[in-house]
Amino acid sequence: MKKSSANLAELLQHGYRYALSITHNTTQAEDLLQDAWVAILQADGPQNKGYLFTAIRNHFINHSKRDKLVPMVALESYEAEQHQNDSFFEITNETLQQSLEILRPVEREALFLSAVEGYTAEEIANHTKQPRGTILSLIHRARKKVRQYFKRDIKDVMQ
Amino acid sequence: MNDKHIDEQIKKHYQKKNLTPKKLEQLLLLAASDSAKNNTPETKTKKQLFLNHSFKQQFAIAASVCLLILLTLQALP
Repeated sequence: MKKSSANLAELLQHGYRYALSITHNTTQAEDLLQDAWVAILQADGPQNKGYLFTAIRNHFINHSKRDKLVPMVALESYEAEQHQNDSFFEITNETLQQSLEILRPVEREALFLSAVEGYTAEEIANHTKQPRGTILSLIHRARKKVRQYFKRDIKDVMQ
Repeated sequence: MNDKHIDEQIKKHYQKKNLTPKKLEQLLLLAASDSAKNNTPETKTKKQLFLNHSFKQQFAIAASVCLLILLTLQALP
């Protein structure tokens, strides 16, 4: 099924964000997306979000196995972003970036699919081939870690 | 700070992340051209190539090979 250029661009942006949520590194996310995209084109597979996400995930697992890089904790070069109209208790980009860094790839992935892509736990479970309970637990733990990190950050600022 | 608030912040965070225009263009070009498909390596084995032929052709190939082996054996001292 052929899609328009705008639709494909949108699809690729979604794919990039998903790859970024797993790798937490812009360069690796770009490479992962490109590998998955080429594989889809070669297989003449459907160009949709579900298929792209699955291809990205499979490629990530293959790369991790090959390179023995299962715990991906690479630091991403942080781009200074503007903090405008943020209230004091709003999570700053920097804090959020750091809090996402401490999450495990599986936790970040589950949180991304739930919070950003709006998938239900059931859908994420089908995509990742894990039990629904595990997904709920991963999301809960990820939110808890982000919250704790943020609280610690506020305490540091107050002191 | 509740779960909804965290989710909103994470959503905002990721929505700011975009592919560089250069990379996006590169991937779109890849989709537009058939270069990715053309780069697919030929993976057919000899067995697959043989099976792609019709029964008559398969029989002819097999007979030729057998004849060749017999002639070779006969020629041996």
